[in-house]
Amino acid sequence: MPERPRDTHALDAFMKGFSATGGGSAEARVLVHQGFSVHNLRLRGQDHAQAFARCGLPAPPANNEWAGDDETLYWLGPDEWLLVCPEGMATPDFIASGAPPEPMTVNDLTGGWVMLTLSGPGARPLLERGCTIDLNPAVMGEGHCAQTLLAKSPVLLATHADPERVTLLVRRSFAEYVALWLAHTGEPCHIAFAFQARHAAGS
Amino acid sequence: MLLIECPWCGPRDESEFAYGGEADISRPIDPDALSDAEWADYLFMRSNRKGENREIWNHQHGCRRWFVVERDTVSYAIRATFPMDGEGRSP
Ligand SMILES: [Zn+2]
Repeated sequence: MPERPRDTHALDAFMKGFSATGGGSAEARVLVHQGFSVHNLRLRGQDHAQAFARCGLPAPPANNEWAGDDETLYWLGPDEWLLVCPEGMATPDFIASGAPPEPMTVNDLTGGWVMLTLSGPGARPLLERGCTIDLNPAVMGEGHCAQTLLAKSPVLLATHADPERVTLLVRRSFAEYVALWLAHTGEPCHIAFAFQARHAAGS
Repeated sequence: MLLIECPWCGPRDESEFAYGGEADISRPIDPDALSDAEWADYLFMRSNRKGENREIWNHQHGCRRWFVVERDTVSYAIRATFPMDGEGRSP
């Protein structure tokens, strides 16, 4: 495989300016993911569970939920999902071939999304300062996701079994703004940012 | 600020939604058969009642679906929300 230049990331400039702060005392950490694909799936008027099975996908998650380990499916609407796969992992065949066995529309939005994971005791309180949905773990617990506004920017939030961990998917064009908002709002808890290491070469 | 119950996402803040005007207005099947006055009536005229109204709203920053809201324009109380073709759901 020919060597690919490293993709530029929407947060390259932000990260250069921010790398000095943070450190060991951070109560909120932000991991900036690299190397993953994002596909938008839409299926109209079908038996969703059967159609997903024929596409080699796990069962579609219920409203406001996400499912999966490495390959993740987020519920976006009654007939719409977001499929996120880490680089190096085989995407379902129908994505590689571009021909889903169902009347499903598949859009590659990989370049359009930036994925962040917030962790630490300060993560949820920080998000609560810019978000109107109830982020209490009793309401927004393991396996939940929500499209909402964070500091007026559209985002997809996903929560985990660990209540101190929240995944944030942001549109590329809003990423720097959201990162700056997180950095500014998270200053009192010494927020730290780091790029996730790329997957090993060969993938 | 209104708390609006999206039929798919549940209760969300008004800032996530876009208002789409009066509900139950359907496009005439044969626009050519209409007079200018009738066409203008379909296009521009709304009942704008004081009190109970049926409105359409879009969950713009959530699931992006249109749905029906029964809302009192005096008290701002929301009585129920429905999918466009479905059963009511009380907030
Ligand atoms: Zn919704």
